[in-house]
Order: sequence, then structure tokens, then C-alpha cells
Amino acid sequence: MAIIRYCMITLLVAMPLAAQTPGVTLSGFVTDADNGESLPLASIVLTQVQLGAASNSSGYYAVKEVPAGTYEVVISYIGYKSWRDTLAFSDQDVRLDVALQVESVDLEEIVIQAERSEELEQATQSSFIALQVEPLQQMPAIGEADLLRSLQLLPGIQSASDISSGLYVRGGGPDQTAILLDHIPLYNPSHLFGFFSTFNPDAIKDVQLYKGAYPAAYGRTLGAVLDVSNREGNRQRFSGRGGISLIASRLLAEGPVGQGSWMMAGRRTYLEPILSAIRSRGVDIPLNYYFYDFNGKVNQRWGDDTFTMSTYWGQDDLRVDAEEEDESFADLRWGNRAVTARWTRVFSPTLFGHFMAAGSSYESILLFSFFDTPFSIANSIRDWSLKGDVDYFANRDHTLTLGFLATLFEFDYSQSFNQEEESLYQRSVLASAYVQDEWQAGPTTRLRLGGRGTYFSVGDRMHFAPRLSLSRALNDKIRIKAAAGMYRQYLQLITTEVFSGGDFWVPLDSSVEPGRSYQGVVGTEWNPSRRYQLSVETYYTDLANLVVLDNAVPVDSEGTRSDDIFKSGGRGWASGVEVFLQRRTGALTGWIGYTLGWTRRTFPELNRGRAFPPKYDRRHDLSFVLSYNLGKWRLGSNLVYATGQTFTPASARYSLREPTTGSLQDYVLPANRNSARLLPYHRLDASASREFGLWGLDAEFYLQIFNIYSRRNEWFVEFNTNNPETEPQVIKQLPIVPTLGFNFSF
Amino acid sequence: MRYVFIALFLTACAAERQPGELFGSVEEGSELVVDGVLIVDQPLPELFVRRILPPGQTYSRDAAGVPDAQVRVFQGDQIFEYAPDPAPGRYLPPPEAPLVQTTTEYRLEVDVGGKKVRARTTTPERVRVRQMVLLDEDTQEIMRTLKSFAEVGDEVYTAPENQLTHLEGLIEIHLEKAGEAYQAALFALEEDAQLLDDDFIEIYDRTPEDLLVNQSPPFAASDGIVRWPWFAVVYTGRSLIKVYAVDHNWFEFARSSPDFQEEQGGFGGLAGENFERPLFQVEGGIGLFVSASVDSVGFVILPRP
Repeated sequence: MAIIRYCMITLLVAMPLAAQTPGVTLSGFVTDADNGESLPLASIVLTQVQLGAASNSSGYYAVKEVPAGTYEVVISYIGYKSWRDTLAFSDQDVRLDVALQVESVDLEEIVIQAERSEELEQATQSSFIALQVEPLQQMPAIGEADLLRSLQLLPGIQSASDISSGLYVRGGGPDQTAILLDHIPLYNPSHLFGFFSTFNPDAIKDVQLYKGAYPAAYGRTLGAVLDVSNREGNRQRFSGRGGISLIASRLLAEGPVGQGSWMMAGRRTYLEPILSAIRSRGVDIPLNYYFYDFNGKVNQRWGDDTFTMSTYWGQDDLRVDAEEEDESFADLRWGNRAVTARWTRVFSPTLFGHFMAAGSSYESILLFSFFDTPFSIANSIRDWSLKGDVDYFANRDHTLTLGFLATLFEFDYSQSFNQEEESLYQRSVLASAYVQDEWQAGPTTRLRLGGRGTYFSVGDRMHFAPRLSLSRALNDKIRIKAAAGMYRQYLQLITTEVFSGGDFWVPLDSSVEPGRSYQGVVGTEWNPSRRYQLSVETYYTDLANLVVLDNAVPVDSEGTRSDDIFKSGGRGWASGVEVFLQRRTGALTGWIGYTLGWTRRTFPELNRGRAFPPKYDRRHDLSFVLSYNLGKWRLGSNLVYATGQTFTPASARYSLREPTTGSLQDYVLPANRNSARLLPYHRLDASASREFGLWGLDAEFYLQIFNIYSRRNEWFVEFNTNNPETEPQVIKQLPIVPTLGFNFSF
Repeated sequence: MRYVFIALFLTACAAERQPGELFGSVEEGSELVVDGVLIVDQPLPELFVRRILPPGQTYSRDAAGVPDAQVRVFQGDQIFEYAPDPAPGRYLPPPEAPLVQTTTEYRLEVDVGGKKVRARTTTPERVRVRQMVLLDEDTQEIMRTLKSFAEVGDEVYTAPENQLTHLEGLIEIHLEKAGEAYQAALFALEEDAQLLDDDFIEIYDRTPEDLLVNQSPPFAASDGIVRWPWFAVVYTGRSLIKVYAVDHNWFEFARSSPDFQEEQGGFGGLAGENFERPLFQVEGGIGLFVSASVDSVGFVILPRP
């Protein structure tokens, strides 16, 4: 009821204002002239009257209350030539669709596009970063450019290990970040046990990351939101791009069709012939593995209506043969599927709607046979969603966005051990609605007020979560920002860092409270010139009702309630300061990111109820990311330093008899949970690439070296009691890993 | 730039450190370790009192034994004073002590120089194996029912029904429910037992002697059925499965012990993060004071022809 009340109040305030507004409306779409892709968050400014707007996720904008007269209109988007023209406004609304030309690249005007949206979205919302994929693709990587691994270099975002693409944002675990592809969730965004993410860099158009205090348009998680949009396809001509690396090849093709465009992108590893060749030389590798993914999209625009269909399809398959006679093997398959149908319509110059029907599923199947004893686990989550968002440009000071999301979830889990089967099926509904008001509260002050109400059928939960962000420009170079919000999480991820193939999500039922967080962010941004930007943000998050998987649940336990599966009642907090200095133009671009952070957890059943730092509590996290352009050559490097992760050391050794067998065993006794730290983590990566022509194609050869000085960073510690001397074994992370490949486009 | 690389290279090489740096400090109240397992219908057991020792020094079980403890077990109004044994840390019950009874609370009190360790256990009801059967793998119908000790005594090992060929059929044990949780172990009884597959040594990473006994993780068996997997049958010859109906303390320790965590795959969260203190149920110290009732079945494993 609270959200309905809020909507009513907001509309009642806004409607009379809308009815009284003088002047006309300037509206339209902003697109890329080269391929027709829409450009979200482009800036539209009428210079003489200081009116402006930003395009929405479909590239649509509306500037209200333009008084009669003749004004210069400037439409800009970093990386593109600004469009300028002088238009006359009288008593008729003006429709202006603009296609921006890509800016010619020269050494003085190379722009990393991580901040192109600063004009409005970043100016309004704290902890927001928009990224384009091209700079990310050029960062040094292992094997393949990877979106999530690149994000780990931003301040406030950590990785758990060299093999993990999981995002640990501001002291939260990977389950606390919602990862969306074309506005729907991907439940397991990883390939190769988490080594790579499911995002094919060729297919990505736009990446928006809210590190905290995210707005009311999003829900589901306690911490952060990563919203990735795929390309819509080239509306002008047939084109493509691809690449070949040591482990995989990828190809994207796109072109016009009818009144719109299409895009298809695929990627597949080819480790099987390599592994087979190694086996044929007598080396015993009992492993077969591949992954593939496919992205497709097609859209048609008829007048003010645009219809889009998109799909994602990804699969990993691992087989390990422990014996030759097929008596012992493990076969693990997991993958995501997603399909969306989207309709966008310009109902009037001031009313724009997006409506979507979508389905997303994730399934993992483990088949295991050990000396004729079969074992299998299959789990899946499927969801079917209806989603709608309406932007109403009420007047020059208020833009209202209202939306709803209704999702039907189906959870399926089955387990069979030695031909004894157990299964569990659950169905639940999550329904939410939100309202948000973008309010230009003064010439230098912007507010975003919102609230999101959610109903979750499991446990019959209903919650309302208010959201607020505020920004104020102190002068043309300095801006201060703040944001706060309340967040709920109804689904819990069960995951392992080293084996993400078995990930699964479960709903939290009435036996435990759903997770809750309060987040607050305060920051400032200083733009001394177009070239440099410095931002400093401090954050605090209070967490309650956290759960953690109870590893000591017996394998045949019939307990299916959340409090049977999880240790519950956890509390926590995270706080820190992030500093982000960027050099955005010139031959040398990049950033320095630094985070000073603390985070703690308290669970009644862990560490005897005392607070402890989770593994990803990092005091210091520093990254340098540099790119140097030398014409056809481009050099890049990353330098990362982080405080060592926490671990639980051994405090003593003792002996006990095994009760069943009576045999005496030696054990080590843990000290307080995570009361010690591994050595600091650091590494340097480097890359070099050169552009060249190849049979009429634009091509690029690259060499990348991960961990160039081969620092064997520590990963975790195990204690061995096989000998009288207790031997701690430090498991190390990756050594130096060089990789090479080439990319092409046509 | 050259100096930067040299500095980084040297830093990289310095990543090794001394093992002692990886040890932490002991929590107060964890110094004494008690070890007692009560089995229904058997005499009160011997008990052990040991100390924990720092992980940085060479470990000796004898050095860990505590010779001068006062050990007492209470059953209702009765007090059983334990006597020290020459073996360090071992204590023996009084000879006149009665057999352990079912559904009875026993309390342990250990005093070492004024430091007291206390624990209590309530013994479970008697567990009984109703039958052991061999199922057809495909239909899961009962192919034959094995003879029990109650029926034929030690002739279970010669009864034709009890001759099982490796990997043929499914072994199933049917219990009369006696408790909330169980644990089972298979004992290979032949002195010259043959390994059924040489790969077991490598796969299990254990010595042939260690493999003579294989224990299960704790399980609930809410339907009273235990299906014994073939991968836990390692040797040929006479074999014995003991099924324990365990008390709360036993169950809590078994499900949280490092052995069980390894059987579960060794990681359920972040790598290396599952190093947790087992659930001991002991005040003033750590260890076991647990109870169970037990029944067993015997059979013979034949290699595949």
C-alpha cells in the first residue's frame, strides 16, 4: 500500500505541473550514424535557455517547456561528434531524431568511454559507472577479454582469486550483485568454473554498473547491479567482427533487415583437440571440456513502435574419466538460456514505454559414477517475467518513471545416490512495482526520489524499499553527491569459488527472514579539465538476515526448509572510501583506483557468535590501468595491489579416536575464524597490439601477459597432519600466463 | 623502469614464508581434550584425557596424554571413579561398573589441576538390523535376503546367501528405527584380504591398512534404509558392517568434523574457508563424550570372475 500511496502523491504533485507547463516539447531518438544503434544516456542541451535531458535506455529523450524562440541544440555523446543546429520553436512540439557520427580518433582525442554518461546519469546517481566494451577489450587478460575481470579493476570491486570472475562489490559477496543481460537476470554468469564470464565482448554494447545505493528501477539484491545490454545490430550495412585466441574463437555478424536490424554472435572453445593431442602423446589427462555461447537479436521499428527479440544460449560441459572402463567418471554440464520479447513505444512526446516478456533459465547437471555407484545432482531455476517501464516527462523539472515486474520462478532440484532418488520442486511469484521522480530541484541540484514495493509468495512477504539520490554542483568543476536506499534479497545463491558449475539459487522461505541492507553513499567529483576527473566516495552498508550454507548438513537430510540448509540470522556491515582518478583523453589514458575498506560478519553459529572478517575483507586495494596509443600500436598494462585475504590459521593439534572405528586420528584446531591474512596480492599485466590490414579486413594482432613477474600469490592454506610436524600448505595462484591472438572486423 | 622490474621481481621471489607464520593463537578453554565413546550393552569404556599441543612443534600423542587427571562418570546417583593407566592419558573404569544402558544420561567430569571439563550424553535406544538384502540393479527388486547373526551366528560367513560378488546388485540394510542419526563402517576381516581394484590406493590416497575400515558420513536414514555403495567395498573376503545409532554429541561431531567435510568435497564456500571448529559439545575443553547402540551384519565379498 505504501508504494501505491507514494505513486499517487507523486502523480498528484506532478500532474498539475504538467498541465500548467508553457512551451513545447523537443523529443526524439539519438542513434549511432554508422550502425543505427541507439545511444542511451546521450546529452541533449538547448544552450541559450539551459534546458537539457539525457536519452533513456532506448536512446529516446524529451525536453519539456521549450519557450518559443530560436535556440542552438547540442546533442553529444563522448566518442562521437557533437551534433549542433539552430532550431526555431513556436507552438508545435518538435520531433528531432539525430544520428551521431563517430569521432575520428587522433592521439589527442582518444577518450576512454567509462564516463560518457556523466552529464546526467553519473551526475545524478552516486556509485554509477557506465562502460563501453572497447576499452575493456584492450586490457591485458588471460586468454580472452572478459567483462567481469575488467570490472574487478575498478575501485570498490574485488576478485576472489585469479581464477574467479566473481564480483565482490564493496564488501559484499557475488550473490549480492544482480547481473542482468538485456534487463533479465543471468543466474550463473560464468564459464570454465568461473574463469570467464558468459558475456561475449563482441556482442556487448553498453555496461552500466551501480556499485551501491542503486535506484528504484532495480531490485532483487542487497548490494550492486550490473546491467549489460547487447548490440541491436547494424541498421546501415552488413558487418561483423571476430577473434581467435589460444582457447576460443568468436564471430559476430549483423546487418539491416526490413525496418530494423539483426545481430548474431557466437563463441566456442577448442580445448578438446588440444587435450586429445596431449593424450595421444601418452600424457594422462582425464579431462574433456568445452563451452559455447550464442547471442542473437532482431528488431523492427514501425513509426513510434519498436519490437525486439533477443536470446542468449550458453553451455559448459566437463567430463573427467577416472578409470578406463567407464566405471568411474564425472560429467558436469551447466548453462543459461534467456529469451526476451520487447516492445517500446513513444505514446506521445512526453510518454515513453518499454514492455517486455522474458524467460530465463539456468540448469546444472552432475553425473558421477564411482566404481559402479551412480550419483547425480540436477538443479534448475526457470523464470518467466513480464516487465514494464514508463517514462513520463512531466515538466522541465520532473521526469517520472513507473514500472512493474512480475516473475514466476520454478526451482527444481533432484539428487540420486546409488539409485535412491530425492527431488524438490518449488514455484514462487515475485511481483514488484516502483516509481521514481527525477527532479531538477534547482539550477545545480538534481534529486532522484523513488520507492520499490515487492511481494514474494514464498513466506508471503511484502516490503517497501525507499531510494534517494542527490547531486549538487558547487561550481562547473566540482559536484557533490549522496545516495541512500533500502534493499531486500529473496533468493540465495549457493556457490563455491572454485567450482561455479554447481551454483544454484534457492528461495528463502518463511523459516528465515530475507536479506536486508541499508546503504548510504556520499561523494564528490572534481573535473579540473576535460582530461582529468577525480572522484572520491565513501560508503556504509548495514546488512541483516544474512545466510550462509551449512556445510555440515548430512547428505540424506530430508530438511528442505531454509533454516535446514543455511546458517541464518547473520548480520554485517561494510564501509570504505574509494578514490578514482582518471585520465580520459590523449595518447595515454587510464585510471588509478584505490579503496580503503572494512567489512565484518556475525553469525550465531559461526566463530562462536563473534564478528569476523569475511575472506574478501581488504584494507587496501589499488589498481593502475594504463593504455598508451602509438598510432597502429597500442600498449596496455594493469598493476594491482591488494591486502592479503583473510584465512583461518591452525592454533593447535590434538588427537581423537574415530568413534566408529576406534582408530586414533590427528587433527588441527582452528583459531578464530579468518584471524590471519595471506601475503599481499600484487601482479603486473601487460599487453601490446598492432592494427593491420588483412585481405581487406581491419585486423589486430595482440600479445598479452598476465602476471608478468610471475608472482605466486597465495590463494588459501591447508594443514596436513600426516607427519608429526604439522605442515601448512599454501596453495598458490596462477604464475605468468602469456597469450596471443588476433581480432578482425569487416 | 628497470629498477621497478627488479624490485617487483624480488618481491615476487619473497612470497615464501615460514610455516609458523601460518599458525594462530589458542582460544582459552580449549586446552584439554577428552575422548570417550559409550556403546549400549557394553562395559563403560576407557577414557582418554590429553592436551592440545602447539602446531609449530613436533607432535607426540604420548606427550599429549594427561597423567594426573581426576576422571569421573556419573549415572544418576552412581559415580564411577576412573583410574589412571600406565599409558599416558588413558583412564580405566572401575571393574564393577555395569554395562551401558539405553536411553540413560551419563555425565563426565574431568579435573586437571582445578581446570574442569564437563560433558554429558544420553544413550540412544538399541538399534537392530531387520534384514540385509541384495537388490537387482535394474528393477530394484529383492534378489535375496542375507542371513543375520541372530539367525545363524558366525555361519553368516559361510551361508550361500551371504556370498556377494563385487559390483553385482545393490546392498541394502533395513533398520528398525532407533534414533535420529546413524553412522556405519565396513570392516574387512581377512588378514590376507585382496584389494578389489589397485586404483583404490591412489584414488583414496590412503594406505592399504587404512582401507581395511571404511566409514560412512553420518546419515539420517529416515526411512530406515541404508544402501551401501560399492565404492566403499575395497577388499575381498569376510566383511562386517556395523551400524551405529548415534547420540546428539556423536552426530554433531561427525557432521562437522574435518573428515566429513572432506567427504563432502572439502569446500562448500570459498576455497579454504571451511576450516571450522567441530561441534564438540564439551564444556571447558574439546573432544568427544558420545554414545551409540550398534548392530552388525556379516558377509563375504568375492571378486568378479
